[in-house]
Amino acid sequence: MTAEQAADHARRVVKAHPARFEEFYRAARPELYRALALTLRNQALAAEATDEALTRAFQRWRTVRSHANPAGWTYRVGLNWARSWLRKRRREVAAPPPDAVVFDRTADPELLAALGRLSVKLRAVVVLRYFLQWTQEEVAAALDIPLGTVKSRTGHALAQLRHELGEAP
Amino acid sequence: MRDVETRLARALGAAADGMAVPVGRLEQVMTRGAHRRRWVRIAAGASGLVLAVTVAAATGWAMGGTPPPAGAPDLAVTETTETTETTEANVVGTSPADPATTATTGPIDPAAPIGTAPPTTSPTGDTDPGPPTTAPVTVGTPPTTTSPDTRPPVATTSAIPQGVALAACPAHGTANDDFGVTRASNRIHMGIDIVAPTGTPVYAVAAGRVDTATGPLTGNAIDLTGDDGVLYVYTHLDALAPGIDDGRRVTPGQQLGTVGETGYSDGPLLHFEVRPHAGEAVDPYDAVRAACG
Repeated sequence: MTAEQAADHARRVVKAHPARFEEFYRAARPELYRALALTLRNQALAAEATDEALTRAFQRWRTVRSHANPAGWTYRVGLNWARSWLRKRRREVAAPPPDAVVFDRTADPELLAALGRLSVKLRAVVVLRYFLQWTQEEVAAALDIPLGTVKSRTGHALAQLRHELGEAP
Repeated sequence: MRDVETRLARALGAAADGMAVPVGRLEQVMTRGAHRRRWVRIAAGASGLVLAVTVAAATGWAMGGTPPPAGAPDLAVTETTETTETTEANVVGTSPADPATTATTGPIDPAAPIGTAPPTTSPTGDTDPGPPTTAPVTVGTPPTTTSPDTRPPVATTSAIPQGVALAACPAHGTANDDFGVTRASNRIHMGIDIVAPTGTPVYAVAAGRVDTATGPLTGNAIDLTGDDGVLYVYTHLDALAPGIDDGRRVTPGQQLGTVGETGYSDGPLLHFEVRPHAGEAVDPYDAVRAACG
């Protein structure tokens, strides 16, 4: 194939799949990173997880792009990767990694501290519901759990937060 | 006091705003100039790899490169001699008729939808039809006033509600008829307590799927989503039975764990809730008495 034929081929192929992953990557990456950082409470780990997840989304783009919410799939892949990494690390190192997130001082430190005391599972639901503002159905699809579990975990999380903040139930 | 849900939306949003997004691995790899070699291999290879070129080109924008003017030509792959970021940015042609293009010129809009845009067609009509999406998932919208189902209303009937008969007893002990009573810190009790010694077996009351959770308030908890659509919640468990983990299917009478007092509990007991279709909790006292004998 000559260089020109190769160019033609590439152009045809790209037109058949116009820069969709690129759009998804640019639009989704910042919020995916922030959602993972808020869930994992570790920015470095979240950055790695985001890159891993987007790489896999790219590799499986043909499938992932047909999901109703590719960002949800990508978030879950990133979260699972990070949790797997933490599990492996725990087997080698006794102490858990410290929370490596520095929150802006104008944010709500009391609430953010209480959030840190939730399990990752509960915090994931809270972040997807209240930060990414996804519906319960979208959260269920993203985390691959039943809708009832989303509602239940949200309820557990809010009850715990209200209890810690001394609010009425 | 401000509702915790509103506080959450604001606090998470503010915390996120304070986080700078680091440069991604893909951008780092692509800007080293390897893209040209990659392109030559890509053209002869699988179509999937061609996307790597567009990612590289696009990330020229993400890194502050110049976005292409409206109506920029499609992938100008014949210009292989250029390796500057500006050219890379020009290379990513998306059809001007593609509505998604409007989101790609200028600075990244934090309110831009995550996920793919609705299906479009280009003037030439040979673009991919796009995924079978519904509305795009939006991000960064202001907190809505609708709150998710958290503290559902208390059902007033004490008869066994339709479809909530239990196929097995959740735990043998002393069931307290305490659904709906107010507890410490003004929490309303959304289930009943079955008082039993630590270690008493806890059983699945229906066939369904198990999810586990743990937390300072609930202790070790199990959510059993029945095949009938009813959600059964067990909390304060001492331990989970071997093999009981997220996604595990269970049958009625299968042991899920043991009674304990983990979490915020008044002593060894099983807190048990029943929520038809995962909605409002209903009083399970009669159903438990019937199933436990």
